Amino acid sequence: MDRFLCAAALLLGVACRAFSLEAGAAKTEITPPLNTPLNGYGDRLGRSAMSVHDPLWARCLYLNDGATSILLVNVDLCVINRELRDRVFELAPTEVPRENVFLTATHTHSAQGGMSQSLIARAVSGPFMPSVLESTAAAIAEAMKGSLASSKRATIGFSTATQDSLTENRQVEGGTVDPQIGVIRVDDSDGNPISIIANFAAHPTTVDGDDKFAISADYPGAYYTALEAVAGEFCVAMFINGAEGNQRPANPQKLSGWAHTEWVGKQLAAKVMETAETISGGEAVLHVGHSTPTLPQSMASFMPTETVLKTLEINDLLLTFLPGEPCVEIGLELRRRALQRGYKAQFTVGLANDHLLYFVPRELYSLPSYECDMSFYGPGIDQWIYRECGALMTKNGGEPSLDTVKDAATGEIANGTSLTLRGSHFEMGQQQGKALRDAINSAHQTQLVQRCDDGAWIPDTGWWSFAPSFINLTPLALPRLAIGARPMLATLSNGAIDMLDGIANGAGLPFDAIWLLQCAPILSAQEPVTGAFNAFSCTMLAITGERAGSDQILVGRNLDWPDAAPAAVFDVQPESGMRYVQVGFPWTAGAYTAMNEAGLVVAVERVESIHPPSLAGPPIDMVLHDAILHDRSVADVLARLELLPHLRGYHVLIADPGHENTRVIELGESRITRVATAGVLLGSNPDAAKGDAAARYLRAANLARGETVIDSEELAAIMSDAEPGRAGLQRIRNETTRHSVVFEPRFRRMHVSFPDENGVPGKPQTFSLRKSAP
Amino acid sequence: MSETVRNYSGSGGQVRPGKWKSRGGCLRQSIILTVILLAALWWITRDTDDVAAFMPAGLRYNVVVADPVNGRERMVSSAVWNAWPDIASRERLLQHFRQDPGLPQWVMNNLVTERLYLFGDDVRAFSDVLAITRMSRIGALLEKFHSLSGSVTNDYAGGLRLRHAADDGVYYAVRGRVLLISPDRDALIRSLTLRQGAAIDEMTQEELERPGAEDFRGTVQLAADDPLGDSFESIAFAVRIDDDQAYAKCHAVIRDTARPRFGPLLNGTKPYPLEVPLPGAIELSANFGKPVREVWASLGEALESAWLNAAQWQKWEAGADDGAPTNAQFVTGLTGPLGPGIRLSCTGIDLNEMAPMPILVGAVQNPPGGLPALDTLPPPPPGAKPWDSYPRYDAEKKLAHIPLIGGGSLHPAAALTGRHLIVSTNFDAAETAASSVPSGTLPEEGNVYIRVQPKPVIEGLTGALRQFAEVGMLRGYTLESFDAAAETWTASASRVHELVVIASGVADSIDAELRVHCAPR
Repeated sequence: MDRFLCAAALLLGVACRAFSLEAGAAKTEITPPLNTPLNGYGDRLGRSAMSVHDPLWARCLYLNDGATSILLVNVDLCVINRELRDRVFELAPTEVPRENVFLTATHTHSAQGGMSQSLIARAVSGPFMPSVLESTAAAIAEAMKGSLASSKRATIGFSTATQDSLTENRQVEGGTVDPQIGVIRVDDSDGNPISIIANFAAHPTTVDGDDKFAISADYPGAYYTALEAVAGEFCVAMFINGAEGNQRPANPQKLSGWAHTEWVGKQLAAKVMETAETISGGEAVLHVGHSTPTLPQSMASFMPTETVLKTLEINDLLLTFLPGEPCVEIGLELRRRALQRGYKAQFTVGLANDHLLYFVPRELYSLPSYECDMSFYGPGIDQWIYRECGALMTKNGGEPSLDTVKDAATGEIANGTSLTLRGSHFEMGQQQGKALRDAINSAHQTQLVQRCDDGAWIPDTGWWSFAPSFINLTPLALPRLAIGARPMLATLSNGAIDMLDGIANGAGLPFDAIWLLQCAPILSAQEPVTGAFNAFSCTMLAITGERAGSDQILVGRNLDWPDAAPAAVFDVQPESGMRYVQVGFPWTAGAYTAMNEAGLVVAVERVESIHPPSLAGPPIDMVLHDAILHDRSVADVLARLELLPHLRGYHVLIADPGHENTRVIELGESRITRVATAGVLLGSNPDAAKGDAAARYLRAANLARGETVIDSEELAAIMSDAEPGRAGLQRIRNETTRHSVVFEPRFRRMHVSFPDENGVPGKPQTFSLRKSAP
Repeated sequence: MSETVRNYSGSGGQVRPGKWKSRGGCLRQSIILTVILLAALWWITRDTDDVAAFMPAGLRYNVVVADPVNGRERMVSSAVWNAWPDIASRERLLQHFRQDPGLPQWVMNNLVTERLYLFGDDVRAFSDVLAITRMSRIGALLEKFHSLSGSVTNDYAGGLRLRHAADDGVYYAVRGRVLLISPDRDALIRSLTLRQGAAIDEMTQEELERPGAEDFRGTVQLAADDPLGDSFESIAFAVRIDDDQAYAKCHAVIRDTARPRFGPLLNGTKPYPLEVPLPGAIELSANFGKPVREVWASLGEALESAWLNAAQWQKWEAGADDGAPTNAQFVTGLTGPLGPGIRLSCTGIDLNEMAPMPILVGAVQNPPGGLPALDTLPPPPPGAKPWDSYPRYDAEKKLAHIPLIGGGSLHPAAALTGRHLIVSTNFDAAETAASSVPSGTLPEEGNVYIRVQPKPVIEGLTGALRQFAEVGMLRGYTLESFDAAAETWTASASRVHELVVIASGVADSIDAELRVHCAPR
C-alpha cells in the first residue's frame, strides 16, 4: 500500500510538473538613430548608419516548466559583447536566474555597433556610444519583461528540416554545409503559436555595396516578416544562428542587393513554417547547463581567458550555446556526439552570451582564410568545445579530462636534460611541455616576446610605423606573426600538430607560441622580420662500408646553434608511429638530429649560401619529424622530400642500416643528392662550401682520410676536434656547438654529448633503440 | 711669559687672596681691557672689501638670491612645486633646500645678509659653484670663533688663508666681512686672486645689486651642447615664488648660428595684441603678424621639424600627384592665407572615438577682404558616397566638413563667424565654437600665449593611455601599475590650477613670462 501511495505521489508530481509549462514571448524594437556606427564590416571604419532599411528587434521567449525558468533572447545585432551582456543582466527581470538567460545575436552585419569599450573591438564596431549601449540593453530587458508578462499555459515541440540550397561554405569551395534547420514551436493552450524559433547556420551578410550603411536585420528580418505573416500577429518569430563560422547564404538565382536578402528570408520562413506545422507540442522538462571554463591559451593577449558556456535541454532536444562563431564542422561534430549520447536532436547556437570570434576545427587551422585569421585559441579549440560542452550534457557518457598530465621519465645526461616521452602525441607533448616548462617559457619570452618588444619583429611599414614609442605593439605583432605562420602547418601530420599542441598545453603557452618557436629560425631569415634565432650551421659526416669496419655505417653530427640554449634529448615512444630519439632543445618538436627504431638517421644543416628558406610549408625539422616518425628507410625520406618543393637552403644527411643508402641531399635552387666517396660522406663538400664551413669540412675530410677504419670512438673524436690555429666556426667543435652525436644505425645506438658552459664536451650518453631496450 | 695683573692696596695692608682690594682700579682695568677687546673685535670685523671685487667675470652663470635665509622657508613650502612634473626629482631638489644648516636662524641671518651671489661654469652639476655674501659684524665674529673650532682646518693656500670644512665638503675664505664659499678649491682661489679687470664690470654689478621683488635672478651662458644651447647663447631670468604662485621672466638671446632658423619667424615681429583664447584645457593664442601658411613654415624651420615645415605645407597645397583634389589641399588652401590672429585650444580627449582623439578647436582671423567661401565648395565627384571623405558643405548648419572615419572626433569641420574662421577636429565642437567665439584681447601683448590647466589634461591623457594599458599595449606598464601611476599624476596635477606662458620675440631674442598658479598647500 505504501509503495502504491509513493508511486502515485511520484506520478502525480511528475504529471503536475509536466503540465505546468508556461511560456510567453515578446519583441521590442532596438533600431538605433542614424548617427550610430554599424558593426560587422571592418571596412566601414566605424562610420555611422545613413538610412534604415528595416527595423531591428530584440525577441524573447520565456519558458517555465515549474522547476526551471529560462529566457531565450535573440537580438538583431552582430554580436553579444560583454558590456551589453552585463548591462542587460543588470536590467533584466529578476525572476529568472542569470545562468538561465540565453542572449544570442543573429549576427546581422547591419546593426548598431558602438557598444564595446575595447580599443581592439572599436576597430570594427566603431566609436563607443554609451547611449546606444544603454538604449539597446534597456530594449532587450523590455522584451524580457514583456515575455514574462505575457506568459501563459503552453506546449512545446521541436523538429528539424533539411536544406541543400540555402547555404554554402565560404571557406572551402564546395565544402561542408549544415543541412539541418532546427525548429521549435511553442503554442498556447488553444494551439495558437506563441513563438516559432528557427536554428539555421549562415552569416547574415547579404547586405553589401551601397547598402552597407543601411540599418537592417538582414535575411533574419525578412524571415521574421514572412513567418509572422503566416503564423499570425501574436506569434513572435525567433531566429538563433547556428555554427555559421564558415557558412553563408547561397545565392543560386544570382540575386543582387535586397532581393537576395528577401529570398533567403522567405525561403527560410517557408521551410520553418512547413516544419512547424508538423510539430505537435506537449509538456516539457527543462534543464540548463552552465559553466565558466578557462579558455585555451591565446597568442592574442587582449582576448579573454574565461568565457561562459551554456546548454538548454528541452526534453530530448539539446541546444548548445557557444560564445563565438564555430565553423560548421564543429557544429556537426557536436551534433554527432549528442545524438550518440541519446538526444533526439541537437541545435548549435553560435554568437551566444559572449563573442570570442571564430572557432575553427583542427583540420582547417592551417587554411589561409578569414575564419582562421580570426581564430585565436589554437587548433585545440574544437576538442576544448567538445569536452566542455560534453560535460554539460545530462545524458550518458562524458568527455575525457585533460586534468592529469603524466610526468615524463627523466634520464641521466651530462650538461642537459634527457626525457622519455610515452603515450599519444598530445600526451607526449604535454610531458615535454610540463617537464621543460620554465625553459620553454624562457625561450618564448626571450626569442619571441622580447624581439617584438625590442622592435625587431615589428613591421616598419604602414600604420605600424606611425605608432608612438610609448605604444607597445607586441600584443598585435605576435598574433600577426602567428597567423602568418599557420599556413606552414598545412602538410604536417596530425601527430605532429597534436604534439605541438601538447607541448603548448604542458608549458602553459598558446599553441601559436610553440609553433612560432619552431618557425622562428626560418622567420628570422625573412625580410624585414629578423632577429630571432640566427641561422644554424653544423658539421655532418657519415662513414660507410669498410671504412666503418664492422659498424658498416656511422654518422657523426654537431649542431652549431648561435644562440645559447639548454640542451635536451627526447626518447619518444608514441602509441602510433615509430619510437625515435631526437636531440635538440626544450621547445623543439621537430627533428634536427634524430634516429628511429628502424635505424633511420636524419640530420640537417642550414646553408644560407644556397637558398633562403621558404615560408610556403613547414620548416625542415618538422618535415623530418614526420619522416622519423613514419619512415623506415632513406628512400622513404627522399620520396617525402620530393613532395615538398618549398624546402630550400638545407643539406640533409639521411642514413639507414644499409650503408650504401646513405645520402646527403642538397636542397638548393636545384636538388643535388650526394653519396659517399671512398666511404666518406660529408654534409657539405669542402670545395663547394662557403666561408667557415669550408675550413670545417676540410678539416673533417682530412681527419677522416687519416684513418683506414674509423670506429664510433674515433668518429666522436673527429666531432670533438678543435683545430689549433682556427677560431669560431672554422673549427668542428666550436663555441656554438650545442650537441654532438654519433649514430650507429645498424645497432640502433646513438651516443649523445652536450658541452658544458665552457664548451668542453660532456660525457656521452648512449641511447639504444632496439625493441628490447627499456 | 705671561702678564699678571696685580692689585695693591693703598694702606699697605696684607693682601687677602680672593678679595678686590680696589674696586675702582679693577673696574677701570676691566673697562680698558674690554675697550681694547672690543676695539680689536671691531678692527678685525670691519668691512674692508667690496663684494664685487671677488665676483669673477666671464663665468657661465651668475645668480643673485635675495634674502635667501628668510625667503627659503617661503620658497620651499610654496605650493608651486606641485607643478614640477617629476615627483622624484622635485623631492630631491626640495630635500636639498630643506637641509638644516645646523645653525640657529639668528646666526644664519648674520652670516648671510640680504643677498647671496652664485657664480660658476658648470651648468649641469654645479660642481664649481662659488657663493659670495656679506656677513654682518656679528656674523664675521661668529665665523672667527667658528674657525677656532676643530671642525675647520686652515688651508694656507699660498697665503690666501682658506678654510676647509671637510664635513660639509666646502672651502671658504673671509675677506673683511665678505664670505666666499665653494666646494671647488680652485674656484675659490680664482675668486680671491682676480686680476684687475677680471671681476664683473660695473653694469653687471649694478644689475646684480638692483633691488627687485624677485627671489632670485641671474644669467646663464649656454654652450652649444647644453640643453637649449643649440638655439640660445644666454638666458637671463628672474623668479619669484610665493605661497601658491610663481612668476618667472626670462630673456633668451638667440645664438648666432641659430638666427637663420629663427629669422623667418622673428624678423619683423614685435609683440602684438593677442586675442582672448578659446576655452579649453590647453589654450593657445598667437600672433606673429603673419598668415597661417607663413607661421607654419617659419615655426617648422625654427623647430627643425620633420613635418611642420614649408615643404610639407606646399606638398599638401599641391594636392595629389595626379592632380586630383585632396582633403589636405582643401584644408591648407582654406586656412593658409588667414591670420595673423591664431587661436587653438584642446577642449579634451574623446576617449570613445575609434582611438582616443584630442578635440581641437581653432579660430583664425580673416584678413580684410579675404573671407573664404565655404558655401561654394565644389560638390564631391560623381559617384561619391555620402560617407566618402570629401569636403562638403552643410547648408543647414553652415559648416564645411570632411567625414573621415569613426565618429564626430574624426570629422573635421569649419564655420565662418564674423571675422573668424572656426575650425575643429570635431564636428559638434566646431558648431558649438562658432556660436561662442570669445572676443577682445589679452591685457598683455606678445606673440604666443599658452595656458594649460594640468588637471583636465592629465585626466584626459591618463584616460587615453589606460585604454592601451588595458590591452597590454602601453610600454612599461601593466594595467595595475598604470592605475597606480595615474593616481599619483592626477593628484599632483589637481594641485596646480594653471600654467601660463606669454612669449614674444624680436630679431635676436625671445622674452617669455611664466606664471604658475596652484591650490594652497
